[in-house]
Amino acid sequence: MTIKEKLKKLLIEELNLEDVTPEEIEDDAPLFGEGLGLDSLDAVELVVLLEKHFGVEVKDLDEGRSAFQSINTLVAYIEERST
Amino acid sequence: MEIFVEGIGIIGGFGAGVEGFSAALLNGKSPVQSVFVESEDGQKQMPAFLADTARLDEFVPKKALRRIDHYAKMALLGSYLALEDAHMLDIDRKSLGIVIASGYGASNTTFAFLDTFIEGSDTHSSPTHFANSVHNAAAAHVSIIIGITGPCLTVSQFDMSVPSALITAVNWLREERVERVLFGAVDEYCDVLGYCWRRFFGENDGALVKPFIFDVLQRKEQFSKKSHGVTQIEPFLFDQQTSIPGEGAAFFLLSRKEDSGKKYGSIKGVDTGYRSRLALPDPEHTFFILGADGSRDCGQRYGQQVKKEMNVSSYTPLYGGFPTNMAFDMATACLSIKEGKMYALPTEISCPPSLTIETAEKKLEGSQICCLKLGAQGDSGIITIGHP
Repeated sequence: MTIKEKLKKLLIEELNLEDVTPEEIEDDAPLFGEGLGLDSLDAVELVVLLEKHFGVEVKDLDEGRSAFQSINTLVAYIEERST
Repeated sequence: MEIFVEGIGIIGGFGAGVEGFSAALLNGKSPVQSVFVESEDGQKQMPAFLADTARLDEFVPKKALRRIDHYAKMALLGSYLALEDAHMLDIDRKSLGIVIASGYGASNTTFAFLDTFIEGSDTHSSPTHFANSVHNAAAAHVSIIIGITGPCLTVSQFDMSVPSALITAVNWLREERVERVLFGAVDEYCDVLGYCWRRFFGENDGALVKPFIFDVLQRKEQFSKKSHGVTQIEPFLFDQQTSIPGEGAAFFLLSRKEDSGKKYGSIKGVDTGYRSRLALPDPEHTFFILGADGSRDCGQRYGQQVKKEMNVSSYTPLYGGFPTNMAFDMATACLSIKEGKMYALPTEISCPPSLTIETAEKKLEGSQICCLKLGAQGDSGIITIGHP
């Protein structure tokens, strides 16, 4: 399973995204507001998810903000810090 | 001042809603499911009465439920069903209070949160789990989702949570703080509880269990083939441990005036305490519903308090053992008042000759119904329901 596939699956499971399948989450669509419709509490859940499942810490708020734009930016953030 | 029961919302192993509960009372049986419990020899099966909250979709969009756990969902569904039963889904939310009783609280979420905390400290702990892990999370979700802006309280006093919470609900109405109170009780089953149940109360393993077993005899066969475990709650065998874990929610819309026309009766009395001599209603004009649920520690106290002159019954074999099952006894009493009869005893229950047990359906003929709950620590609770 690729990081992207794992990430989409975890997003659905950990954030309890009802009636959403991994295939329906677009790689470049915004995660917050429009698009997937996540909110500020989900952002905190995302920080926990990244550390728990990928061993990636989000310490810098500005860095996190740009990383949390979409699935693609999140995957890039994980790959950058996993290597 | 009389306090009336205008609506009932109830979910448990028997299904969701008054109709499902009435059917279980009339048939004298309720489906039991099986749960898997960890043991030193691997996973074991054990019977349990579990509740399904699927009907919540009728009232709330799925998206609004994604941060709400099973514990709070049961409370939310119980609340909606009580309002619906009273034909008051459009009730004025400003003058409505909420009082919820729970013995265990949100046990699944609490242990899930603790597990992640132990495994990886606070950095691995979900903030949603944290918020949902407190006992009063259910009341908060009910208040937010339904939009109730009146006072909101959760009471946890283990076996006596229900009478203790009901005293507060009745007081709010008597002091005219609110027009109505959504009063309810909720408890959930969790893996840790199942593990403790098996460790404390003994073996019940090895049987191949079908997911839904309605027939008591079939159930006995299923659960006892390869085990010497419990197959049925025996409420009147006070010196035996026969309890089966249960979960569910029972909610009531309470009011100073009876508008719904449902005629579930009114609350004639509610009390709880540690008094050795209970102030029980006159047995000549009262039927007693015992909250005895197969727990031996509590059972011994029923053996001491229940006298031959008391006409007793018990319906815990229909919903299982958990701290707030007294609210289910109260729902049974309310339905009995509405129907004008005591329901027959659930099927296949042992009846010792030392007790006066009402086994068959019996007309109430003006009698009131007293729900009696006795805790293992000398605590007791009484809720009396009667005709207005």
